[in-house]
Amino acid sequence: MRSSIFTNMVIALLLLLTPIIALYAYSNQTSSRVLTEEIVKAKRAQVDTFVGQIGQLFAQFDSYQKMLYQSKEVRNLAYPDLLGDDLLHFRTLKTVSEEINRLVGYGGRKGVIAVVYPKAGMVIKSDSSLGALPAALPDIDGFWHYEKKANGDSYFIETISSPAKTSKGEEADLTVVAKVDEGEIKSDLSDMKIKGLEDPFLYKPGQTPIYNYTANQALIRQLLPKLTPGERGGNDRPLLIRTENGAYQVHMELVQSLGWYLVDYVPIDTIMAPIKRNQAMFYTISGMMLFMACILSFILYRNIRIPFRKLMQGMNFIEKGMYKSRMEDPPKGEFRYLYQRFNSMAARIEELIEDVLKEQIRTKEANVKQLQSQINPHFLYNTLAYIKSMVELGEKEAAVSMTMNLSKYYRYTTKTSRSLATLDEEMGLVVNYLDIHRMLTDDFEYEIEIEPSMLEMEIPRLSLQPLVENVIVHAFKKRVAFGIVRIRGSVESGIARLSVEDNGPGIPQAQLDAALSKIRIAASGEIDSGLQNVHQRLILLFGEGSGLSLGVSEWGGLRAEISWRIQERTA
Amino acid sequence: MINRTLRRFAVPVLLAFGMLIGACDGTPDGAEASSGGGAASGVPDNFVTLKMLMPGDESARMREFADNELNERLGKELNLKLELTYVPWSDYQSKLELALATGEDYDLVWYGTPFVSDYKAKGYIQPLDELLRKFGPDLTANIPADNFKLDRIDGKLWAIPSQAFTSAGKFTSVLVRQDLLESVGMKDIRTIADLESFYAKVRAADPGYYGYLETDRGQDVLWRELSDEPLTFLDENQMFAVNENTGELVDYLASALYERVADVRKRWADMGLIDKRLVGNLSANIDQENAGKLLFRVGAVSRAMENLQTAQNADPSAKLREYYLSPDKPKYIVAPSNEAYMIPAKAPHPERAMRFMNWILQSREHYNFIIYGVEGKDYRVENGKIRLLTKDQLMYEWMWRNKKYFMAPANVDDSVVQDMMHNDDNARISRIFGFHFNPEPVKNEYAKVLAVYNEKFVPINMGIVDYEKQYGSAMAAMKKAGYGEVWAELQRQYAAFRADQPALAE
Repeated sequence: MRSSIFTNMVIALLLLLTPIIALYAYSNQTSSRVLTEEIVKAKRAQVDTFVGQIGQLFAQFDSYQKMLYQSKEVRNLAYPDLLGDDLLHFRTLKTVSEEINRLVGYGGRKGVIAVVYPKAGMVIKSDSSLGALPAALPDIDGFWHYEKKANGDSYFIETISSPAKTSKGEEADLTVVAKVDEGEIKSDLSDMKIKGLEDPFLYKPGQTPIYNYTANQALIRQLLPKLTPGERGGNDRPLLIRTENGAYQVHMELVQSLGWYLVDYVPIDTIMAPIKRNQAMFYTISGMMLFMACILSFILYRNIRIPFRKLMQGMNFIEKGMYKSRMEDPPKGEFRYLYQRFNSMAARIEELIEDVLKEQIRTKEANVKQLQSQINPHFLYNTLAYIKSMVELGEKEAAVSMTMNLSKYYRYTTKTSRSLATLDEEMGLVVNYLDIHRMLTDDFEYEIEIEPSMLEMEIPRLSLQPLVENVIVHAFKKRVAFGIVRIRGSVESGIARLSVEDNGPGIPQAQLDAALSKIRIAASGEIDSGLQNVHQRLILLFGEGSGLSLGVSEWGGLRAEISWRIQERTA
Repeated sequence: MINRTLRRFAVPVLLAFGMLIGACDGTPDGAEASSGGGAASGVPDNFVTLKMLMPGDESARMREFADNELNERLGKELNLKLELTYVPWSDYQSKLELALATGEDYDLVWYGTPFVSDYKAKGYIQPLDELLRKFGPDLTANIPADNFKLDRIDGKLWAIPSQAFTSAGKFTSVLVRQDLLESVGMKDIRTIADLESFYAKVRAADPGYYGYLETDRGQDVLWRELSDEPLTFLDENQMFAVNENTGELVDYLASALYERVADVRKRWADMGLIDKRLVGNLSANIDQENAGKLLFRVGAVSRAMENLQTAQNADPSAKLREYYLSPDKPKYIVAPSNEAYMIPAKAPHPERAMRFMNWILQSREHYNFIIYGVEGKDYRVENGKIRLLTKDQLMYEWMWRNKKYFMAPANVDDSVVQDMMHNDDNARISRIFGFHFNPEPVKNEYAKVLAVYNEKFVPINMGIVDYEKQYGSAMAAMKKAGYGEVWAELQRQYAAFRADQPALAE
C-alpha cells in the first residue's frame, strides 16, 4: 500500500514504454540494415558504372590502336620504298593523319594516339602539342601501364609494334601508341564526383592514388593503409574503415584493363546521422515521458497521498482516544478544507467526550457529597433518636413514617446507576428529606408548586436536594420565626425554571454576589460545594444559559433557582 | 487540485515536446537558398552547361583551370558551367562544320570572319542583334562599331568580332625565328631569296631544322614579291582574288601568278625547304613549331607575340619576328577583326553564350582571368606587362585581344610590340571589305569544285607535284566540276556588291 499510486503509475508507464521502445529499436535496426544494404547496392552499381566508363575509355583506345595497327596505309608508311612517288607518299600520309585525327576527334579527345616510325624518324599523332608523346616509348610492347612523372604529367600508355618489341634494344618498324594523361583521369573522376560519387580516386597498391581535383586527400591517405584488395577477392561486401573522423564504407572495383581500382567511400556516419538523431530523439522523449510520469506521480503522491495518509493517521489517533490530536500544516487547496473540518470535528468530539466525562465526575461527586451529608452522624443520630423517642412514646405511626422516609431517602441517594433522573423522582427525594427534617424540628412548612408538564423532564440526579439542604442547614439554623420553604417550577419560552425560596435571614448582597461568582467561575477547579456541583452539571448537560442562580426571595430570605433549556429530546 | 496541477504542468510539457519534435525535423531555417531575384541581380536562375568548341589542344593547366577556378567563378557569376571541346587545329574546320551541320548542341563556336557568310547561308548560325542588345552592353562598348559591320549580312548581325586590334596585312607576312636568322648572320627578311638563304644556312649548320610546312596557305605571302598588282584573296579557299588597284576580280588559278607561286613551292620542295615526308602529316607543322624546329611560317600581325611562349618552351633563347616581303608595298585591311564568335542556330542556351562573351569584356579583371588565369598563380603584372608563370596556354589571347585591355607580354621584345602597334601604318581598306560570297545558288558545283581543288591543286600548292605536269588535267577536272558556274556567280555577286559601294576615292 505504501507509495502505491506512485510506484504503480511508474510501473504502468514502464510496462507501456518497454514494448514500444523494444518495437522501435527493432524497426530502427531493420530500417538501418535495409538502408545500409541499399546504400551498398546503389553505391556498388554506381561504382560499377563508372568502372565500366573508365574501362570503356581505355577499351576505345585499345580498339583505335588495333585499327591503326592493322591499317595497310599505316604499315606502308614504314617502308618508304613502297611509296616511291611523292604524291603517293603525301596521300598515304594524309590518309593516316586524317584517320588518326578522326578517331581521336570523335573519341571525346581524352587521349593521344600516334604512330611512331622510329627508323624514318616520323611521328603521326592526334595531338600536336609538344608533350603529347613521352620522349621515350616503353621498352617492350604491352597493355596499359602507368608512368609516374615527377612534374605531374603522369600518364597511362600502351604500345603495339611491328614487329613486336619483346625486349629492350629492339627497334620496331612502327609502333602504335595510345596514351591517356592522368589529368584526363582526374577530370573524369571530378566529373564522376559531380555525377554522384562521393570522392572517387584510382588506386593501385604501391602507387600514389590518382585523385579527383577536389579530393579530400588527407582523409584518403588515412584510408589507404586499410585498402587490401588482394585479400578480398570477389567479395562483394564493402570494407568498413574507421578513422578518427568517423566510419567509412569503402567500395573498390577493379578496372580490368588498367589493374587499378576505382575506389569510392561513403561516410556512413554522416548518412546514418539523421536516423541516429531520430533514435536519440525517440529515446529522449521516452525518457522524458518516464520522467514526467514520475513527476506527475510524485505530485499526486505529495498532494493527495501524503495529506490523505496524515488524515488517516489523525483518524487513528481519534479512534485510539487521542482527542487532542489535530491536523497540522494544512496543505493548500481542497485538503485544507478537509483538515479544517477534521480538526473541528476532533475538537467537537473532544468537547463532547469531556462534557460526558465531567458530568460523570460531577455526578459521582454529588453522590459522594450526598453520601457524606447522609453519613453526617448528627443527621443520623437525630433521626435515630427521633425514632427511639417515638417508639418509647408509643407514637408508632410517627416512627414508621420517619423510618419510611429515611429508608426512601437512602434508597434513592444510594441508587447511583443513573446520572439523570426525572423531576418527579427528584421531587420525591426532596419531599422525603423535608419530611424528615420537619419531623425532627417541626418548625417549618414547605410548599410545592410545579407545573405537571415538568415532572417528566430529566435533570441531573441529586441536583435539587443540595438547594433544599442549603436551606435547612443555613437558613433555618438560627431560627427567628416559623420557617417556610417554597419550591416552584415553571416553563417559560423554552426555559424551565425551578426555584427554592426560604424566609430565613438571607445573605447580604455582597456575600451573595461573591457566592454566585464562586459558583460560576469554578468551571474546572475542585468542586467544593454542592451548589457548585449542581451549576456545573446543568451547564454540561444543557449548555450555556442553564445553571444555578441566587437571589432574594419575597420574604427576604434566599432564593436559589436552577434553569435549563428544554431540549428536543426531553420535550 | 490535480486538474490544476496537470494543467500547470501540461503547458510546459507540451512546449517541450513541441520543441523536441521541431528539433527532430533537422532542417535548419534559412537553409533554403534564396533562389528568387536572380534575374534582377544579373545571375540567371537556372544552372546550365555552356558547350563551346575550341581549336587546338587543351593544355593541362587549362583543363585544370576550367574544371576548378574558372567554372567555380562562372557558376557563381553566370550560373553556368563552361565545357570546352578542343579539336586539333589540323582538324578544326571539318569538325566545326560537321558539328554545325549535324546540329550538335554547342552554344558557342569560334572561327574566322570569312566563314560567317558561308555559315549564315547554310543556316548554321543565328542572328545576334537582339541578344547583343539585351546581354552584350560590354561587347558593344569595347569593340569598335566598324568591326561589327564585318559580321552584318542582310541587315543582321551573325557573329561577334571578338578581336578588336590591328589587322592590316594579316596572313601576308612571314613569322621568322629571329634568333636563328641572326645566328646565321642575317638581319631581316625582305625577299624570297632571303628565306631560301636563311634555310640553306641554318640547315648547313644543323640539319635538324625544317623550313616551311604550312603549305595549305601562304601563297599571298609570296604575292607581295611575285605579283606586280596588289591582290587580296577572296577567302580561305584560295581560288579567287581581287585586284586592289582596279577592284576587278581575279581568277587566280588561271593566272600566271599561280604558276609563279607553284614554281617557288616546287623549288622549295626540291631543296627540302618544304619537307616532302611531312607534308600531309597534319599535325607535323605545328608539332615542329612546338618543338622549336621550324624556321618560318605565315605571320598574323601579332603572331610573333602570340607564339613566343610556345617557341620559348622548346628553346628558351627563341625570338620571333614578322616580316613582309617587299615591305614598302601597302597592306590591306580585309577584316578589322578576323575572329568571329558565332552562336549555332541549334544552340540550347544562346542567351548564356552572349552573357558569357559579355562577361569576358566586362572588365580587365575578367579579361585577364580567362586569358591568363589566376593572378599570382598563373601570371603577374610587371610594369604594365604580363609575366606568365605557367607555360600552359589558357584561353587564346588573340581571340579576345582588345585595344582597351591589351597588355604586352613581359618576355616579348619591344621591337615586336612596336611592329604590332605600327602595323596599320601604310594600310588601306581592301576592296572586298564587307563582301561575302554566298555559294548557295551554285552550292552543288561549289562543293565539287572544292573537292577537286583539294585533290588536284593542293599537291601543286605544296610543290610535290610539278605544275607543268599536273595543271592541265587539274583545271580540266575543275571545269567539269562546275568551276565556270561558280566563277560566274561570284562575279555576279561581286558586281552587285560593288554597285552598292560608294565610289572609292582614287
